[in-house]
Amino acid sequence: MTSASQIDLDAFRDLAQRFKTRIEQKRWEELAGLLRFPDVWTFDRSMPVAEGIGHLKTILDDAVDIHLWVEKLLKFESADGAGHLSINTCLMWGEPGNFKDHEVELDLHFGFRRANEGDWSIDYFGVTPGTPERVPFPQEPGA
Amino acid sequence: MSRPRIVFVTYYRLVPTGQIGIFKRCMRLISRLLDDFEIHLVNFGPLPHTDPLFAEVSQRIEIHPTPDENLGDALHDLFQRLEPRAVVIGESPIRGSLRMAHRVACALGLWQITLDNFYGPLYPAAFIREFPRVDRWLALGLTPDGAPGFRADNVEVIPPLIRFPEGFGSLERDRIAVMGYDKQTLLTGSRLLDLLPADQKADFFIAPQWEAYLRSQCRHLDRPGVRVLSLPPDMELYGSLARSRLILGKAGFQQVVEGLLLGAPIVCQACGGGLEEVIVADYLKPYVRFVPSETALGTVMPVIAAWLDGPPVTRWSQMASEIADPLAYGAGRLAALVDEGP
Repeated sequence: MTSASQIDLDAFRDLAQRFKTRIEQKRWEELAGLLRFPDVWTFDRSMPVAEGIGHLKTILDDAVDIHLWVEKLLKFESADGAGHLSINTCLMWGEPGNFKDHEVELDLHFGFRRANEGDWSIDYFGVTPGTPERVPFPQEPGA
Repeated sequence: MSRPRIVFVTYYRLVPTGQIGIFKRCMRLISRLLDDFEIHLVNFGPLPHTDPLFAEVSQRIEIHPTPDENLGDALHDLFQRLEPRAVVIGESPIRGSLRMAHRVACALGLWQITLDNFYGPLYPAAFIREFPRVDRWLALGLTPDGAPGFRADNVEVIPPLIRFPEGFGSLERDRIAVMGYDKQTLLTGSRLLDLLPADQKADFFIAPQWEAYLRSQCRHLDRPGVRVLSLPPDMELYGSLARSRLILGKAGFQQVVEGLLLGAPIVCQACGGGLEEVIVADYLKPYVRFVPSETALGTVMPVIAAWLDGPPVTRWSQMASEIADPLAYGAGRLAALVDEGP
């Protein structure tokens, strides 16, 4: 990987980290501020950004101990002022007042654009079901 | 006067791949804390009763079963009843049962110490960012500059939890070691021996259930200098690694750094989880190679030949003179982190 690519990857990771923090801290308006484009892709259809955040808010507004864990990098591309980062994640949250816990594996896909050599910004976001981990040499049960 | 209580939270699982490392590092630390602390164990998964260290330690600790349902409530009741001085979590509480133990400990305001691997200089900050409610971290690994360890904020880096055998540094290195605790690594190790000279000495470390498989795959076991050691005590393992010119093992981080600290470079059987892609820092790469399966050994044979003829890894050998007993040192540091609590 060239150093320029590494710089881009670091910039993309920084933006993805901000995205993650805003979800974990329920900072919905600031999350909207990161997604300044019309639509997001969610599983099997696109919807306006505000609607997508609304769904997330419905699920997480009462939640406690929200954690969006980044499991691994799936894809990274960068060229000519445009870029793409896909990451495998696990979104976890607890219910208030008890110890019930929820987790869902998600792949998050970010598109990035840099205007006039300036800062990168997110210009696409999509979420799909998480990619299962590949286990090349499974152990026999009971071994 | 009663001893302060520590609850260790760990796991051991067999599928999809055997994972006992987290459990073992806790057992090693516990073995050195028994006189000063009352130790309680919460383990997720089966208990490895055939493991010699666990068999020894289990007589002196209290083991608490875990329910299949309402785990959080059960842990809450347990932690509340025990009022431990600290909860020690065997690995970052990312998901599942360890995350639940972390949540419960947070809810009760308990002092929490988490053990994890020191993958490289960026990790202390990452631990703190991801899990801000963990009070202290004990990170096991090898530092880039060869120093025994360091402290950065709430993260203390210490060497792998090994013991140096007597005479370490002057022992003849005359063998290879195969850490064959899983079927694929045993197969790769058997094929490796096919490719080496007929007088090559080798120690195979195995779990008992794999002995028949190994005998069906390896035609060298009756040769002089080839030994099969089924779950040996730790000191026998360390003695072998300190006499090895290279190790073949599963791509587990602690296996890698323990081998390097004992002076042997390592060929890792890739086993998923992304170790080869992500967590071998640049300063470890000269001493580590990966093979996807036994059929790919040819790609690493030139490096293996060079390692068999070359000097041992000495980048971290000064540690042996500064910290003669890394396990005792690690247990001492953990006890000190427990004492930093309220």
